[in-house]
Amino acid sequence: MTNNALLNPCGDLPSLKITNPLKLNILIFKISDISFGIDISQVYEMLDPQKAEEESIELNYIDKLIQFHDVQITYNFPLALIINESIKTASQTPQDIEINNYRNGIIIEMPLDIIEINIKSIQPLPFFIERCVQNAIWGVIIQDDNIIILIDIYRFDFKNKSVRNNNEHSNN
Amino acid sequence: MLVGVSLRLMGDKMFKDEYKEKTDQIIAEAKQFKIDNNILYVEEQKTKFVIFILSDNYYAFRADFIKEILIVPKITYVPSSPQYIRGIISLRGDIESVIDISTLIALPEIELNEQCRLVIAQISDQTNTKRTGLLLTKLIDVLDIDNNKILPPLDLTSNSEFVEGGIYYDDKYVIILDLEKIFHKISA
Repeated sequence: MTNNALLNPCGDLPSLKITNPLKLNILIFKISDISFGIDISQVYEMLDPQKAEEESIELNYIDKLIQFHDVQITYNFPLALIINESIKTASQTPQDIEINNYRNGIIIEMPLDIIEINIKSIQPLPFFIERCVQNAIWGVIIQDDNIIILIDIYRFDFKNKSVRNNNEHSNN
Repeated sequence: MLVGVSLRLMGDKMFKDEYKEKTDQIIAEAKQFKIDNNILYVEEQKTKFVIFILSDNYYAFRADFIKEILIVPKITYVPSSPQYIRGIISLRGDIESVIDISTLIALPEIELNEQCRLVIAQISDQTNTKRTGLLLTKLIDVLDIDNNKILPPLDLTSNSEFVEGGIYYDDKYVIILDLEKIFHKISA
């Protein structure tokens, strides 16, 4: 695992390395019984949402960024993923990545696992869905008969959706 | 004597001419019968339909576009998709979309139960092939219907945009839905 530092963030900034361009490490979590995956290289660190707010990080609940029609979302164990902004601003994916700043985060349910996948196992969304869902949902993988929807958190539009602008959201 | 022979020969010739006329007529009638039969055969061509229920109403698709019929597998909802898209499934390792036709034609959303079925429909044109799963409340039958029993669409439904015609099945009026129009609509 290349990103163990993320799970136990310490004071020093971790240095990430992409070791195999044909593989991705995917962070798996569930919202409303739907499995989602995020490329962990997009994540700088995971924090308690309260701590993240104290650090003035703009937080966004993931269900505010992708609409769940008629589904009431509750978070039992919310966790803030702080976005790795250094990759977002790079025009090309570097082999060695140094993290030097971050400011946005998304709140998800507690992750279940981190799995390594071959990029060839990623399937596109079916024609009729690909054309009408948000482009942050970029692909699908099947893991142990379970469908995992892949999310590119760099494609989210964070404007006006942060926790500070959505105080009505309640955590359970 | 000679006169008698020639009269008999003339009589034979007349008989042969009459006979030829008769056989020509028989052949002509036979040919006409064959032509009529061919016309009859064309009129009796059949079309295979998949008949099903959506919200207590009978509907049908032309079976040419239906690849397979499945017990509904686990459907994974895809956030931000339109209401008529119920989600995605894994079909032998391939991801397919699942569309609730009911929602598309202004009927209540299908409540999943053990009677529900999923048909995999596929339509190809010159450039590509589009495939999706379509949810049915209940599958009724797959059968051949004489083409001359396919009726023009009745203007009875609010979803006439997708109605291709109608047939009678078991004394019930069945609305034939035009899958090509449905595919066109959800592709637009």
